[in-house]
Amino acid sequence: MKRVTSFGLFDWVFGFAGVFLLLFILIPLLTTLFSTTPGEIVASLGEKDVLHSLWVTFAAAFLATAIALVVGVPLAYLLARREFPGKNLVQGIIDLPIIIPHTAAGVALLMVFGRRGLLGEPLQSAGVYFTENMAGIVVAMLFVSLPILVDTAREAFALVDERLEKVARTLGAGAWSAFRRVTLPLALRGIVAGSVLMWARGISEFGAIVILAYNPKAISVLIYERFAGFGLSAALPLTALLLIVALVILVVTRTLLLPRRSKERRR
Amino acid sequence: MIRLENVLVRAGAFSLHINELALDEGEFLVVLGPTGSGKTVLLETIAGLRTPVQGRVWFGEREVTGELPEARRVGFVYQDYLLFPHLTVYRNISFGLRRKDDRKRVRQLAELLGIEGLLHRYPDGLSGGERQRVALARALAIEPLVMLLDEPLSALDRATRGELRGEILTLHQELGTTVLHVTHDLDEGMALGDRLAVLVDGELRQVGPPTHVVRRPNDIEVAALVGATNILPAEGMVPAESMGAASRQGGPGADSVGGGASVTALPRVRLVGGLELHATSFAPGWNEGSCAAVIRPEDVAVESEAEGEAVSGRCTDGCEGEGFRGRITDIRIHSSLAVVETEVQASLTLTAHLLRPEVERLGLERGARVRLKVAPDCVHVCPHEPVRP
Repeated sequence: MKRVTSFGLFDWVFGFAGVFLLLFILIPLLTTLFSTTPGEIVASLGEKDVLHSLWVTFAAAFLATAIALVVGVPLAYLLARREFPGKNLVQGIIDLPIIIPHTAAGVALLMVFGRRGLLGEPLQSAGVYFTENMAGIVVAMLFVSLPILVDTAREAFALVDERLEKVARTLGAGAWSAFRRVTLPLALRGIVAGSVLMWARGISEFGAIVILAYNPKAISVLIYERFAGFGLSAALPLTALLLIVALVILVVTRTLLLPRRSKERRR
Repeated sequence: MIRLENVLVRAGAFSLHINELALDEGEFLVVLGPTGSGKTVLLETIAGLRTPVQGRVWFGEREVTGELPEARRVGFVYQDYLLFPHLTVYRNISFGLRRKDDRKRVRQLAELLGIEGLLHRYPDGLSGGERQRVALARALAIEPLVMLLDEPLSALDRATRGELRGEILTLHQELGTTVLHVTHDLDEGMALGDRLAVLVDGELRQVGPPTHVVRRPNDIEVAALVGATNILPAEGMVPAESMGAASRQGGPGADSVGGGASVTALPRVRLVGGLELHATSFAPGWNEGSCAAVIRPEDVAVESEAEGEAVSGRCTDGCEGEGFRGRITDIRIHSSLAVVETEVQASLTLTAHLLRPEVERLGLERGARVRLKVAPDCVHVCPHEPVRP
């Protein structure tokens, strides 16, 4: 007898569509990887400005994610749980950075955080600079990748049954305690996944960074500079290196995010 | 012990209005209501998870209307258990305990509910019955002033439901906890409740001993909810003294015949279509202009015209004369009961519940001609429209 779950025409058609998409992503990436040699990649790791650029990029993305966690997760909770006037507007504002070109985001940020910007000018007198400074990279990354964390965290909170909080409340837990002991642990995987995605998105940012904080050079800016100044061959090892690092990070975090209690199955 | 006074709660477009509801200490009150009648809203209001827009909630002498849920000490058990999936059974039960190492209390409850072997398991590996036991233990751990049970048995299979129903009753008797249990299942209400309250469209329509509510519903909606399937629209009453003149009424193929001296002193309710029935019980608020005769299906005796033998025990002695003649239109056989539909008039079908073997013994079948009998004390007259307090 033919089993319902066996691989039929349906699955072949859907599978073919998926393979097409995978190849579309993989071919350019693999071509880049194989256009350079392992020796060149390792050599690029020895360059001081490459190492510095990697450090600046990863650290700035980390800081941007940390800031988003502190200010974005509470907002995500409210968006998932509460009804309030203007909720759709708030949601729209949060998602705005997704649809505006990132160079435009850079210009907008420059108007606020630039040397003569709304906040940039007063903060400059307090010794805080955003242009030509890592703070600018953090701000650019935060602006363009914040929607990823807020949206993922909002979905994660929405998936936690609100009545679990209610039960916790009846068992004597206050609102903070119910959030800390029940909602947050249950939404944590989604929040961590959103953080990783936000961090990864931050690393890949170019448009906003290049306008607000060209220096210190983030890795995307460095690749562009080498490509513009020295041609394709100069940009290739660095590009390949970034691809490998991104792949390793994604695989490791995905593995860590696997279900914890897979051994105990529903009877 | 727990009292709601003129409480109004809004939940979106729905509103729950409880004029008065009081639970005595140690009482088991079952609230019966269809889906959307406001059962969960009622429980959440008592638990403090919803705030009334008017009215007061009292726990004994303490008014708790504005108190947060964490200050009220209520045990809340939902239909779908809602165990914390990231915590072991032990951590679930001890969640509300101040000292997390109160092993003694957790073990006592686990033993009481027969789940001591599950303490280190996670909820996703448990069966429905086990999960509900854990949910009960978790709620009982905080020594609640009241247990609020939101359809705790409806997600379980039949066998487990029966088992857990017995356990809930035993727990209530052993611990003496006050329980408010909401359900849409009348059998549950009958088996568990000291009193039964009926909630329809956010209003309490009737509160009383289960057998009283079932036999003497306040209106036709309550009657339908408590399984009185024969709700017969009436045109008015015929006073007791005009009895003789009113005999031999009815349409073609059916008649109602006056009986002996004992029933002649009773008033009769005249059904739409002309049939008349003696009635002995009248709901508060009924009026002649708009009323209905309510007859429970198990109170309808069926006599096969071919066999000449009444099969439904309750009414054989007190039944009126020759009863109604009719033709069986449908017989549905259940595990122990048979539901027999008999058309008495073009617009009047009566439902009778018989024990299944009786239907087989009498050879009742679709199309067979039968005689239906109802004792006067099984005819209850109630308002057609709900009487709102």
